Amino acid sequence: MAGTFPQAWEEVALVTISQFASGGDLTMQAAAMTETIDIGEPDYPGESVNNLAGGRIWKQSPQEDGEITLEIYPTNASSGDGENNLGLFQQFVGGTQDTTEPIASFTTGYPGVQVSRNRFRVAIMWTDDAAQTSAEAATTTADAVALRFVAMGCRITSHKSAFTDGILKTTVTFKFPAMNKAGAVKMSKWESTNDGDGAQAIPALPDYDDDDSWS
Amino acid sequence: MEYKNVTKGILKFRAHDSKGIKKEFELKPNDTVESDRELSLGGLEKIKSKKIKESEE
Repeated sequence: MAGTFPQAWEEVALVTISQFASGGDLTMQAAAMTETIDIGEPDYPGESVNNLAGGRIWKQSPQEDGEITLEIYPTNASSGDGENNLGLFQQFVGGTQDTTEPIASFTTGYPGVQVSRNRFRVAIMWTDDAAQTSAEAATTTADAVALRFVAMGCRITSHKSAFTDGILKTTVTFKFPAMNKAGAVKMSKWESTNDGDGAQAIPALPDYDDDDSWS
Repeated sequence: MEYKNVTKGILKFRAHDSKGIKKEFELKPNDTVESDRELSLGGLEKIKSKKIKESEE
């Protein structure tokens, strides 16, 4: 048996963001603070070069970076617990996260010292499986259908807040490379299943403790 | 309140300690931290509530 995909995925999706940490990750749910999702997979540009026969030789360029943009409605600067849906202020700023009220984003600088930006894995899942609560979790229900996009190695490159419509909205852009440094791993992938349990299930994503590994 | 690092890695965060002073913590897996208030960070699990409550129980 297999489930039936809907005519289109509409209205809702699960959004799960994991912050990379060696040895274990910090995972948050983000669907309840998110209004829109834009997935820009890495472009694969190129152009043709004229040859003397009047033909064309395709000249391929390196694949570009990808971007995921979320429009979210943040409410506070807390980094939250597993059920986040609060905002991504501290995640964007980086540094050591503040965990007790009152919260302040990190303000210490290190002159002349390179500081790594936070890296994230962003998972977005569309499914008709009522048991699914996380885009990172495995699907578990027979005949349930699901579609998932995941990108890892994402940096938050843009975090713009606006109150122009009378509601605080932040547009957050996660940018990720097409490949890892070694050129051995594609940093994003699509998955789907038409039967969400057993061997055909979309598997759970592991802890994000290796920033360029799917396992 | 006491919290435990339930992740497999080291958690680095800022929080108030048991005396109400904000400082930086670096917590190894299964290590605990005491604070005079609620901590909110994925990977930290509350294992003990306020001491006052304990003595009342």
